[in-house]
Amino acid sequence: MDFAWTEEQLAFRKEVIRFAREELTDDMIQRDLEEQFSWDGWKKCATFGIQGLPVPAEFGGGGADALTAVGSLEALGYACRDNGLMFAINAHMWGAEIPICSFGSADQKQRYLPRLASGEWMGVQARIEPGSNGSDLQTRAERRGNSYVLNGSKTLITNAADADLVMVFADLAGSEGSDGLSAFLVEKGTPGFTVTRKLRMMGLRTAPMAELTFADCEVPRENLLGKEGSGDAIFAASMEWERICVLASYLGTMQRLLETSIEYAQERKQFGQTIGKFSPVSDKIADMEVRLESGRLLLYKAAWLKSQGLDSAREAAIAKLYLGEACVQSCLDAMQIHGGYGYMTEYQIERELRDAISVRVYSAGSGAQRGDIAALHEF
Amino acid sequence: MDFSWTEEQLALRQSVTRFAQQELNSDLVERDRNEEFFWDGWKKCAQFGIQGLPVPAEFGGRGADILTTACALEALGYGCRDNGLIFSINAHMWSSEIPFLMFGNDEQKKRYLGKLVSGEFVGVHAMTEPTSGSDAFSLRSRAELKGDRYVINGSKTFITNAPIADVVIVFANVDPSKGAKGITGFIVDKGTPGFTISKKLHKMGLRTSPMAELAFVDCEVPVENVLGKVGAGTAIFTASMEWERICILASHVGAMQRLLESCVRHAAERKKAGAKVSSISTKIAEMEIRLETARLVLYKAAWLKSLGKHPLREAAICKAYVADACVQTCLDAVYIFGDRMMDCQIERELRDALPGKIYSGTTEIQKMIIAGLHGL
Repeated sequence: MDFAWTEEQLAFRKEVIRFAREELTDDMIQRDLEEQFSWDGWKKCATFGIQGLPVPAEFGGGGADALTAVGSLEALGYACRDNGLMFAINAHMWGAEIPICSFGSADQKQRYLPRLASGEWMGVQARIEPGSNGSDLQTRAERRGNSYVLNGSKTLITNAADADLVMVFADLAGSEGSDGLSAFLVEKGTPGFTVTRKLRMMGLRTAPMAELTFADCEVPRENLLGKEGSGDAIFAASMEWERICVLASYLGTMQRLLETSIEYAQERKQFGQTIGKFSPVSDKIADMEVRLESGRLLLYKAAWLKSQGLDSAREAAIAKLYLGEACVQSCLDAMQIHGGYGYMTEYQIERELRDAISVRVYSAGSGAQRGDIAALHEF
Repeated sequence: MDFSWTEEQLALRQSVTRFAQQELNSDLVERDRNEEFFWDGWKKCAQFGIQGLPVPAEFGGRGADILTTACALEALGYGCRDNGLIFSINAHMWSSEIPFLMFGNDEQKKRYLGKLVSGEFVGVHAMTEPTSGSDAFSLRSRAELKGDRYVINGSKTFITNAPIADVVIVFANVDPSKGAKGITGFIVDKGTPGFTISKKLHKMGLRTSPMAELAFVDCEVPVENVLGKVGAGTAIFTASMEWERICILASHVGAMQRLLESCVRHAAERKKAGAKVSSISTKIAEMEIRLETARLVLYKAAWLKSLGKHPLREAAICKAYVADACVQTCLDAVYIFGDRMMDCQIERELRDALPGKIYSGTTEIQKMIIAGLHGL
């Protein structure tokens, strides 16, 4: 057993922190208010190598395993305060890159992976539909000559308005149940594919979500990903990475908030002493520290199992459930420690809470995690 | 022992609810986004009699006791979803109307109370400073006597309603060597030279309630503008807080009921659509338990004060419990609604509920008060 990062992983983490601090701008308050994505930040992250992390080197990526990805994203989350940008990068990696890496034909990999890895193109996954809970999807695909024709709507698609490539899940007409669930690669500009409605968000506002509509949208045969009916398997592969990695940056956030809270508790004086000396404050800091350490260990173990090619479903669900709740709680504690200042937009603590809650709502659903863990016991 | 409302109180509750539902729920999303105070709502509330609830009839108020006031505010919180408006109304009542009522001389009451009740004036008090929040009485603002005037210097922060205030009760120390005993309340009218809004503050929630920092630079007021007497500052603040700690979260109890009902409707829809709702049911039961408990601690604290007592313990319990319960209920509602939390405006309720744990004495301070009563 060994709980240490390798020299290489440590060096990369340090580099990520240096990069984020120096190059990612910090006009967060304004951009959060105006729901504005940072293309500048996206490009810089791509040039540095973030977006390409899980893509094999032959396609311009970093060929990183899950543990390295987690370590890098944690460092990025520590030094970069744009949670929306990081959410979009995660959606791009696990929702678009991974499915193509795992199921793409040689031609599809050649066509798409280099552009995705370099960040030249932004990829997203479109599964959820308005009014559905993820299953019994209504979006339909029909075979028509050398094409498939897609009809339906999708929602909660991160940065959909700017996506270059959408991987859409649709039910192949004539199939039964989920046998027909298939995945199609749709490029921006394809006739019949429109972004219909930008969604207002509580948090992650710098990567606004949108709805998409497919109206007789024709995609060539070559744009089927995997085989007809591969939908479930593709989604599962995507989730195997997403479940572990999407909250990694929040370990960084939790560390940053812990440090900020400690600093505030050491400087702020009331009743003649620093507030850190009052147990209601120091207890919260201790709780934040425990959550951070526990969250790290759970996430690293899940990532290590996946890196070893071992089954990580149980550990990933545990880590995601724990971290999703821990992050929100630590944000609440940080806000409370900072008193009135924690509630003001100027101090940028309230935004962290909005972002953490949004991640829980849109990605880390505790209910789903609890369901998955319980299901392992076959009640 | 009797856990029921009187006929009169019930009628008041119902009419407040109806009024609020009909008149106070327009443009909520836009005004929250743009940090816009609901002037029309403010005027309608004043006309209805909200601002005047605890003020005697001779000044145009209703002369309601604190329990009846809490009853009406709970109904207001149930029917009105502009939590910022309700917060501004609360600040106006406890930090301005009550101090004038309890400490104003006849001249001061005559000059201000009628206008505060009618809503023509917005009243504010300025206690908190950048270096004194929980430790309110360690404030640094100074007031120096020069002939027949006091000259005030200092800065205040987190002052609700400051940008729209007509009259401010400023707490400053006339003699720091006396410590808290030198703190005095001064009446400062809008437009007084030397008194400025130095910075507008932007908040996570309660965005329709304006807040700002204030600067006093050689601000001169006549000695007649001392409220109560010199050195009465802590008494004024304590009296104000006794009302505020009990009443300011009454509307949260109403909001908790509203959210519970929304979640029940949502769960019923999901069930009809074939979804499994047992985990939602558990959360709803927890929301119900919290709501019932919050009501009871609120009513008991208000009842004790209505008998003329000073329920320090019960007010602290009420403030600590209700603030936390409301936040927990809002969090539960956010997760129950999931991605519908935006369309159904649930997420704003959470943003608005969170500072309940901070203003009027943080939850940590309430717990210290409670523990302190045990000699700890």
